[in-house]
Amino acid sequence: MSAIAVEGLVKRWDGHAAVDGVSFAVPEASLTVLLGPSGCGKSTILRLIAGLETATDGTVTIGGRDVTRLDPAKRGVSMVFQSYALFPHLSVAENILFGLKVRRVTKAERVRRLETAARMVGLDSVLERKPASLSGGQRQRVALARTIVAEQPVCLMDEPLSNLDAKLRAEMRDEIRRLQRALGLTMVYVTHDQTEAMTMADAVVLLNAGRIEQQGPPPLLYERPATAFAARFIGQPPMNLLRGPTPGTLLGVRPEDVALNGSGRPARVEALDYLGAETLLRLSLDGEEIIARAPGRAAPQPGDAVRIAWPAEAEHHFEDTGIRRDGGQT
Amino acid sequence: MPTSRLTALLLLTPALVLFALLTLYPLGRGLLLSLVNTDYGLADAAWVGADNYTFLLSDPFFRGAAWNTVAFTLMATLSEVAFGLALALLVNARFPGRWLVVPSLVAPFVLSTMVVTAVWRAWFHYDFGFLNNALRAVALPPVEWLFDPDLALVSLVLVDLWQTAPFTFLILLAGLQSIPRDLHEAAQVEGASPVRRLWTITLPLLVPHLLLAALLRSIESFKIFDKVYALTGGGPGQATETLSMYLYRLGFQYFDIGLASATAVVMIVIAGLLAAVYAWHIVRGQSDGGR
Repeated sequence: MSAIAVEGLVKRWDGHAAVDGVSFAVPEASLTVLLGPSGCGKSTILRLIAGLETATDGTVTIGGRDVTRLDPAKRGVSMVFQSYALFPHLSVAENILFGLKVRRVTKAERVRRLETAARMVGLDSVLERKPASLSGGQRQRVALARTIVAEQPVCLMDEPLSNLDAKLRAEMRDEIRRLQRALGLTMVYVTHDQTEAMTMADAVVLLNAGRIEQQGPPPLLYERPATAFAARFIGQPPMNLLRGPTPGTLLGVRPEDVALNGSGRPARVEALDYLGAETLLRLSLDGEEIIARAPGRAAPQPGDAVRIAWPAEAEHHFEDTGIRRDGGQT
Repeated sequence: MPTSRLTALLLLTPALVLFALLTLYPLGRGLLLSLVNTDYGLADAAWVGADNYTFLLSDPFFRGAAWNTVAFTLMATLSEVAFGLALALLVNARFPGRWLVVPSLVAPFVLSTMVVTAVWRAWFHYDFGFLNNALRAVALPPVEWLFDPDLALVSLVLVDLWQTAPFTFLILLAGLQSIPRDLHEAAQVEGASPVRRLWTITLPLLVPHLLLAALLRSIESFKIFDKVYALTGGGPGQATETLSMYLYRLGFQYFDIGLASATAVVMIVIAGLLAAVYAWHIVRGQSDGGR
């Protein structure tokens, strides 16, 4: 039993609410991503679950047990920090085993877990080295190994990949997801990177200014954004938001739904972003910017007049307050 | 490049001239004076070779002064680092108003030694002093702080501790604040108690700062003169005579400049060794990125 439930969580600093009434549930052995721009409160929520901050209001339950006021060490969680938080004066092996020594795990058991973990993340050859002599990716693996040997049912990750280069990031994404599944960990993963959220998550909790904008599996957030914020935050390039057909409304269309071959509305090509497999056309439509995504190399050139259209079912309608009009699930 | 080297040399010249005049010349002259017998300059000096040094080694007063200096240096350095560490750990913990506490802790450090010794002479007073009043208040016998030969040196350490603990406190506080909070939090999640975190994380990571504080304080307290001169004059008897007091007595009361210079050379060698340890530590710290 390691499911996490967060109920009405509030964290206030000097009257400012960093987390403002947040509720969500993380099913056992699943991976939930807390996604949002910097300052949205996602890291604070993770630290509240870990017990590194004290909640102003609300509760955190892990495996049915209310841990809101419990010491971090007694919550049954392990944590990976953005900086990895490796102890610079200890070797890789000592770093990995730090928690087990503290918890008085027997020597034989420590050796067994160290060997397993080092093999899982490929650190066998550097166990005696100090963190300073490791590459970024290796440090990240040490932090993962620390989590593996802890054998805690819940794992909390705070932007664990943000210090790695793009190629390594893709690699580690797969590796973390593989570990989470193999070990059956209940994982809460904080990131501002929608690619990490979309590729890794069983469920995404999208946050903005301390509140939840939308939560659900990645396809739901992409296909039925509950708010204009969700529509703009998820998707690259983001959804086009235009003036709606009736005053006080917004009309959203994903760039891939904007077709050039239509006999639709006249627009002018302002600029092209050629990306190889596709081209983004930045168009001007009745004085508003709209981006269309075309496969391969697009024929039109800047300055050309084109006609664009999109299917009616590709339209998303929002109030100008940002709420979805056809009752988007939040 | 030659032009810029020349410019650099020109710009350095004033500093180099001053260094030569104020440091190298006295150093060389002191070394020369330590090899002669004279009551003033080199003019009517008689060459005695290493005689001054052999005399020093056989002189019980020199050995006493050397012992006092080593004892003072050890006691002062250890107590100042330990006390500075305790204060730094206290202030580093988050409590309201701690930034008001720091200036009051640092206050003794900004006072001149003459003021400090005047304050402490009053506190040490047998009949009216604050310390003996405090002892009497808890029904303990009063103490001859500066006139008990077994205690006088410790009393001087107390004064030094009071004045310079703020210095080690500031160094160690800076060190504590350079330890990333993540490390403590990671250890906390892993189940390490505050005491365990102190021993396994804080202190090992503070070693460079502890070493720095200890070296700077030992170099400084090794040449202790002012507090001794102002509070005990080296007494009672020879109980608090340090090497610099001994040197002062030989040079400026007995005008045995040769012997005094030999003492100075011995002191320079010891202080130089301490400074070399410090320099080696700094250079090593730079070469492996601070750790």
